[in-house]
Amino acid sequence: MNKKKLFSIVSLVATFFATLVATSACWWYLYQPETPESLQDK
Amino acid sequence: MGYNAEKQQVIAYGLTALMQVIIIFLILSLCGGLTGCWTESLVIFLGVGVLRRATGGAHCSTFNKCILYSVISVVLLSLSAHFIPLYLDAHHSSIEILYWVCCMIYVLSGWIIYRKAPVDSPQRPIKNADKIKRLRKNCFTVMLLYGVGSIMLCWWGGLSGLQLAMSLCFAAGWQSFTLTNGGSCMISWMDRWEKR
Repeated sequence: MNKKKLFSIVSLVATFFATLVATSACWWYLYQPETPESLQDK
Repeated sequence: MGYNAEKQQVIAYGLTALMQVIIIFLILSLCGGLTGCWTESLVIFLGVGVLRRATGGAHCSTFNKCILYSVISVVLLSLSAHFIPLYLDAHHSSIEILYWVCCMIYVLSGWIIYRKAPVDSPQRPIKNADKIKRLRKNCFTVMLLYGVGSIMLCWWGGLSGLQLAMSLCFAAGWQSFTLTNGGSCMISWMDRWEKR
């Protein structure tokens, strides 16, 4: 597997988790970083 | 990869969330294995995490403090859930009192969640009314599942079942505590403690 494919998969998984966080009140435990603008409630 | 700044932020956000879960899970697995409370630690880890997604709650200011205080809280709760029933059973004391304690914790947690959930944060504000309604519905669905799960574990699981039921109950109790002003003050105090 080349690097570009690996980074694509990592990006996909990370984006999926980011969307999952955005639909919830909080992620999992006691830390909550600043939410990117595109994922904020409008 | 040719991603713009916004896309990069989203990826960083998602990776932070993922790393937080993985790191806490690995540390708790290690601590749980060393203390003999791996199952209870896992139940509390999952119990708090799933409920927290619907209820929100108080936060620490940094990633590292989150990991530290999450691990400390889960380890202490898992040790309690594991050893309290064993102690009472070994001393031929009444275990039924634990059933009542669990009931009380569930009732109190349910009341706190009814009054407070969802609790947002400056980094993750929740403004959409439909989302608030959906999250509240999720809170009560999860609490109902935990309650039914606890009853089934106590009914069929014997002492081990009771330990797991208490783990689930403590998860609900701890998470609802973080919704209160007291819980928020405690986490803020722990957050500032390191800076002294």
